Amino acid sequence: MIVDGDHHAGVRGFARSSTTSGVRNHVFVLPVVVCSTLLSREIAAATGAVSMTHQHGCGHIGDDVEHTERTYAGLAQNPNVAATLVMSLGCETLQGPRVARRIAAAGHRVELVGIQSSGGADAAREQGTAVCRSLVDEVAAEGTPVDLSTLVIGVHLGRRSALVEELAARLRGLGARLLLAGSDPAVSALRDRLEPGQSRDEVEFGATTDRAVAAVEPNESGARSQLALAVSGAVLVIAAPDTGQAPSGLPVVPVVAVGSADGLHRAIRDDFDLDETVDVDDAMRFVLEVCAGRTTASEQRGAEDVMIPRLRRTM
Amino acid sequence: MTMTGHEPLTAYQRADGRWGVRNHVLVLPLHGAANAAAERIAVGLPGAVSVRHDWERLPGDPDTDRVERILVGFAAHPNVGATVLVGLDDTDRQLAEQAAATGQRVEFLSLAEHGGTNRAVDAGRRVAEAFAAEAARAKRVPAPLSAIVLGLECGGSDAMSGITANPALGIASDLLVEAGGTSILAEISELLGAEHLLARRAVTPEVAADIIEVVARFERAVARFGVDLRGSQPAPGNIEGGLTTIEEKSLGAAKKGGSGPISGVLELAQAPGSPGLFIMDTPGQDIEQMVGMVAAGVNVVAFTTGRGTPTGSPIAPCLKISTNTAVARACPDLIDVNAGAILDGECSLAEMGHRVFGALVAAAGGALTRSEVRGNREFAFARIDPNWCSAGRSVS
Repeated sequence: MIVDGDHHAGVRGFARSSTTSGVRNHVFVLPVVVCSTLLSREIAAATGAVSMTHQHGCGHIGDDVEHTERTYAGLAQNPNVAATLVMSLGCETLQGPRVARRIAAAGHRVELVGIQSSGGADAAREQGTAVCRSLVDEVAAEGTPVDLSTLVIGVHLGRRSALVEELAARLRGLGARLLLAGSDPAVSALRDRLEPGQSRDEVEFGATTDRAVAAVEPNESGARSQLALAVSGAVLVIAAPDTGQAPSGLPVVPVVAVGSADGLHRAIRDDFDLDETVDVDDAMRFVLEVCAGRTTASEQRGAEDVMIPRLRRTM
Repeated sequence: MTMTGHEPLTAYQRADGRWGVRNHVLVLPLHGAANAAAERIAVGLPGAVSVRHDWERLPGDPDTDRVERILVGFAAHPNVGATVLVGLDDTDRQLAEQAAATGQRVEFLSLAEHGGTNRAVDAGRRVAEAFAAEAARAKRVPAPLSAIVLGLECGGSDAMSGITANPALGIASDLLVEAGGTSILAEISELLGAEHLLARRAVTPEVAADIIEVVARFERAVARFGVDLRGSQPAPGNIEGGLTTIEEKSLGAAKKGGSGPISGVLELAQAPGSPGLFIMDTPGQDIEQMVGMVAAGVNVVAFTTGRGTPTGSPIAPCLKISTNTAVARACPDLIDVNAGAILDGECSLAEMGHRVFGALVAAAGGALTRSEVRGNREFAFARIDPNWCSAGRSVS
């Protein structure tokens, strides 16, 4: 970490605008439907890109269509993503061209490959791999120092966590913007500490915010809370899952998982990065190393699944 | 060759009397947190398959029974010779016990008893390797046609679906049921508007009432959302393929069920319990439907398509039947049988029906379908209230 005389702090990152940076420079292979997830993973594995597994994209109804599209677009527009390859089947409800246009309209680099329009799975794999490889080459970059105030750090509190609350306060003190998720009273307590007396409106799903401290809609599911943070632009998530829930990962955003010191979390300690017994200075060092490229436990075990929150039953 | 023009069937007979047409080792995560562990246990092991899913097992989830029925249905499936179940902690053990109660060979391990994913993978891999070695030694034996439990599916339908592939599959389904087999028609959202025709074929007035009700309750659920079904049905690809209305799509989709009597209506993932033709309450979404049918014991899936799709089941062969020759030519690696040959004048509908039947029996006998060769193993739960855990958003 670089700290200058004015207490501004910087890390290695990837500037996307004057106010926004990422801590990764991914090419994201985005399957818009479950039918293209296998190909997307194969293409990502062959090219050094990242992808995700999910079960959705077809049979959505009503506002669930927009909600799912927002999920896809939010991940593609995350500052950790330099370019996106949209992989579509062709006949699905969430139409690939529409998703690609939405991402492009937001000023992001995007390409589209369809299975049906390419002439089958083998042809789409070949074409997708070639397109993805050229995107990887096109966006390749070394990180540069970026100001912490250009980073949105996600904080997920499924439980009260002294360590995560202290990390959040320190990161805020260094200028980082914080986006909070999880359940009350943990989220309210942290907001009280960071911004006493401030208003409590929520950031809409998929929207971004310039506020220094903000929160997304409460959700009992840790995985869904973390996804909401990623689609609203968090470039790193520090997560304290509920004591009964396992840690989860995200496709384009590193998750620093902090376990409680006993119970289930102690039993699966290998799947966490930190626990409540870790010294806060050491924990802070770890978080900044992750910003600089260190991989987390969820990335190491390959937990890039996404729990896409369908709003309604499938048609 | 036999009278119906197919090779004699061979399959694997299971302890509970059911027949398997594959002998997989299934490594099944019982919790989404175990996805990575399950995949790493199975990867590269011949005969072993794994899936990924998004079940979080949160307390109070209203879909718990549905999801657990699917997980146990897969764990105990006759196409699976042995199952490694990977849970989060000991809470998941009861699902392993339910699967073992069917006589299935089951080994349970949890992330919690091994300290997390890495050591659970080491332990699970040893079990899976032993299971895979056993599975490789199992032998097929002659089996009756009644061994086949067929799942009927269509995805990416077009204007030809109701003229070529679906009626041809209907003939194959009738042949199977006449031979003592079982066939399941599903996708309630794609039977909407055809229910009165199906109800006339019910074996009893009670079954007829059940057919009308299973469609009506779906319509009531959609009405409660206050949205128009036409945003989802027909799907964009259906419209591009020439379908104009839900009813038109449904009348074509229902033809997969042939013309024989309908013996009953099943809930998602509910085993039929006797041979015959059944209707199952599933969504039309290809993967949620396929998983619901296979969890009920379907051991072969027949999937008609006008647009072409790569998807398959982790544990069952999935025979893709194209509705038109153009898609079979454009996407050759997605199609197993081209029913577009009917329109090309190459064969009659009846001949195509027998050809499809022969291909299904061959797939059941071990011939690999294209989705199996490619390794497509999609998996998804058909949930009723997927958003229950968001504040104020429950819509059941």
